[in-house]
This record gives sequence, C-alpha cells and structure tokens, in this order.
Amino acid sequence: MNASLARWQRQFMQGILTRGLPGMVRSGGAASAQRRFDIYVNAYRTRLIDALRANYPVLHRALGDDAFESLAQAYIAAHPSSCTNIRWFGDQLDTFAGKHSDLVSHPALVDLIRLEWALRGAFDAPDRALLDAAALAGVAPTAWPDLILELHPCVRLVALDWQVETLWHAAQTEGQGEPEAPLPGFHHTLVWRRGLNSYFRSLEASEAALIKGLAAAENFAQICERAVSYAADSATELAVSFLQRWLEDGLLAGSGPVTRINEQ
Amino acid sequence: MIQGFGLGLRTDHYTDFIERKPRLDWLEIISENYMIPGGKPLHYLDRIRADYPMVMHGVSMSIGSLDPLNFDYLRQLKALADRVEPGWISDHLCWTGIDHTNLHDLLPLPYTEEALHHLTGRILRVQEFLGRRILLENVSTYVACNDDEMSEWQFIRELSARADCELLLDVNNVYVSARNHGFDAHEFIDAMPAGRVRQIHLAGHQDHGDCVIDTHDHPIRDEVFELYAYAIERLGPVASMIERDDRIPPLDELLAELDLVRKGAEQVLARRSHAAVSA
Repeated sequence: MNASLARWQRQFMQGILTRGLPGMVRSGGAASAQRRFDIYVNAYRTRLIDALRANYPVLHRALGDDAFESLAQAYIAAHPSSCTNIRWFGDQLDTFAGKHSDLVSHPALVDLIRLEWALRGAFDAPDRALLDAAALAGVAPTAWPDLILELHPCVRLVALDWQVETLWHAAQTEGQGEPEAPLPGFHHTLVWRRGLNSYFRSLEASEAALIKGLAAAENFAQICERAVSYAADSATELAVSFLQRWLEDGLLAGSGPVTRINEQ
Repeated sequence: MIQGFGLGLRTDHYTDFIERKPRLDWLEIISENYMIPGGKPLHYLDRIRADYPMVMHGVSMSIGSLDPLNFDYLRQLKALADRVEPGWISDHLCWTGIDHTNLHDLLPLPYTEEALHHLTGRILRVQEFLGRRILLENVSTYVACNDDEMSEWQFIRELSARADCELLLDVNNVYVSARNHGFDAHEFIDAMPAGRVRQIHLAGHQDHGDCVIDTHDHPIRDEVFELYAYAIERLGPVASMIERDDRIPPLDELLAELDLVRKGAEQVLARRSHAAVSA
C-alpha cells in the first residue's frame, strides 16, 4: 500500500534535509534535475530562517545578517520543524544557542533569545478579561486569606543572567551605533500584553517571588508568607502594594469577584 | 456568495482596510496566521471581517501526506471558520512533510492511481469533518516523479470528481509548472471542470530562463494575464484575486493591479456573451 507515494515522500524529505537529489526525480527539461530540486532545498531553509527572523528580530539585529544566518542554519539542521504552524518554529533556540557558544557572539544573547520568545508568546497569547479592582473591593476581609488571584495567560516570568533589556531598548532606536555589551546580573523580567501592546519590566527579587506564588495558584495568605522574607514586619503591606501595581499593569485575569478556595 | 475580485489580506494593509475601507469584493486570509490563541492578529481580523466578506486559505493541511490527518489542526481550522464564516476554505494539492517532520513547503505529488486513492479518502474525511466541501489549489512544481502515470491536469480532474471537492485554480502556478515541465498551459486549463473551479489566484513569478520560480513578490506578468483571460473565457466569471506574499507594495498599487484584472475579465466576459448571442 502506498509504496511509491511513501518512497517519494521519504526520498524527497531526505533530499531536502541533506541537500541530495531523490532518485525518483525525473530528469530532462531545460534545467537539470539537481538545479530544479535545489529550488526546494533552498526554499526550505529560506522559509525557516525568515520564521526565526520574525520571532527574533532583536537577536537578528544584535548578531547581524551573517552570524544570524549561521546560527539559524545550524538550528534548522539540528531541529527540523515538527510544528504544524510555522509561527512556533524556534521554540528551542535558547537551549541550542546555550550549547553552541561558538554561534553566538556573547553569552548574554541566550538570555535575549529567551526574552524575545516570551515577548512573542505574549503577543498572541489568549485574550481574557482583566480583573477589575472594583471586584476586589467587594471581597470580605475574612475571605482575603483564601483568595486566589489568577495571572493573565499572557504573563511570562523570565529568569535572566544578563541585563539584556538594554539590547532590546537599543534596537528600538535606529542609528545609535553598536549597543554596549549587556552587564551580568541575575534577575527576573516580567513580560505581558495589555490590549494590543506588549510590555516588559525587570523585577526586584521580592516581586518575582510573589509572582511565582501567583503562577503556582497560591492563595493570598501564601503570597503574603512569601513577602515575609523581604519585609518581615510589613509583609501584607508589601503584598498589597504589589497587588495594586499588578492591577494597574493588567497582569491579573478575571471578570467578577474572586472567591475560589484554594484546595489543599 | 463570494464573487468578483479580491486580495490576500496582509498585515501591512490592516490600517488601510480599517481606516479607508477601499472598495473590494472580498479578502482571502491565510488561515494559519489566525490559528493562534489571541492578540493583535485576531483583533484586526475581527475588525476587518466586519467590513469585508472573507475566504480562508491554508498552507498546512498536508492533504497528500502519508502521515495521519492532523485533527488538532482541523479542529483549530474549524474553530477559525466558525469565527470568520468564510465563503469557503481552501488548501493546496500537495504534502508538506512526513514522519512528523514539517518542511513547511508545498511539495509535489506523484500523479499515480495510488496517490489518487490516498487523497480521495483523505479529502472525503476532511470534508466530512469540516461539514463542507473544500477547494484544493494546484501548486507550482519544479520536479516531477518517475512514477507519474498521468498528467497533473488529468490527476486534478479525476481527483475532484472522486472526492467531490472544488478547485482553486492558480493561473500563475499553471504557467510556472508548464514552463518548468514543458507542457501546454492551455491544455491544463482546458481540462479543468468548470463547475468545480470556485476561485482563481494570480501572482508574479521570477523567470530564470531555464526555470521559472513562483515567488509572489512581483506584479502579474503579461503571460499570466493572457492565460487568465483564456481561463475566464472557458470557466466564466470565477472569483479572482492577486496573491502577493513578499515585497508587499502599498495597497493602492495592488488595488490598481486588481483593476486591470477586473477590466481584463470584463472584456473577456463581454466578448464571450456577445459571441453567445451571435451564435
């Protein structure tokens, strides 16, 4: 069953991946079979490089055309696509670049890859209504400890070893010359979308810890416990001040009063 | 009912369509661009859909692949169709990968009885799942298979009859493949079953002399305009559009080019009805 079709498709794919010529390709015609097959060989790589360029525009800018293409070609060879939609191609580029330091001019660029992938993810993450501060105002004081606040599905918390935000900012201003190399410094950056625009900001360790609690679906009492490590005497005040900021930034999802009980 | 003349919706033109609402019969979207969870693309899609009828055109169904049909993909496609309510859904008569590797390209099929059988069953299942007939488009090809048992146009004609599917005739692709394989493009057009061709694509290509590459990054060339006139003369008024995918020009340039397409089609159809009256 399907012997010829199967042989054709497997030969064709191998030909594209290994730059060979499938034996089943008919010769003849004005151009040689190899020249005509090469159109597929080249189109395959061009299309995937374009997809990576679309997902990592700032990395492309930081590396330049040639180095970006070398990295992309190596990635394509190591990670043939298995995603249905080309939009998601490049999801393992950070790990790949981390293992192939010869392909990236500075180790901080691995962090840049992670930041860009998070931004790309926030860009077309699900749409959800934001939690309205008024809905929280109606929560009885006794219900607060059990309250679970839900992060909006667009929110991403990215751990970075380098302050690569400078590269991203430099890429937004044309003609400013070569951006300076990022400084080392472990921190978390928060990435999210509000309306149609994506944002990011770097976090103090305290805020990052509390947001990790939100991501783990902890209740407000547990979030406040996390705050104790950073403000032993005013943990609740710290948590509340962050909560106000999260509401202002549009980081929390939900449309009505939040009364779900944490089941533990 | 989608009729007349359309364009492919591209991000470069979102604002033009929202702010200026240029006169246009319909738009074609690339389905995969909107098969995402949310955000800006879907926001603009909904806004533009409010003003224009749409058809959906996919690149990932891989209808000819030996891999199992991807029902996750089909479910997402159906969900998008529920949102867009398109005039129809199309994809390509090709395969895009095998063994769960996606080459993200529209790859040629062998034109054999075996492939006809394989494709017929899959098209019928997809049409049943989507609850509608689909359109399949002839792709540009650069190589052919030693095992071919029939011509591309015989294959398409037979497949559309067996699977009871409809066709998207890409006139540029016919021209490109005809040049690359040395067949007569008119013979291809002549073989198309008129009742099944619901849509026509027009695009530009690059002519390298010994081979022609389907690039969609140039205006339609004269040879393709002539072949389009020939197709309209035989098939009648089929919904037609320009498919530009790269080096996207300002919208007004594409609208002007589409005016030429419209005028060309109107002339052919006027001549055709005049000939019918005289006969």
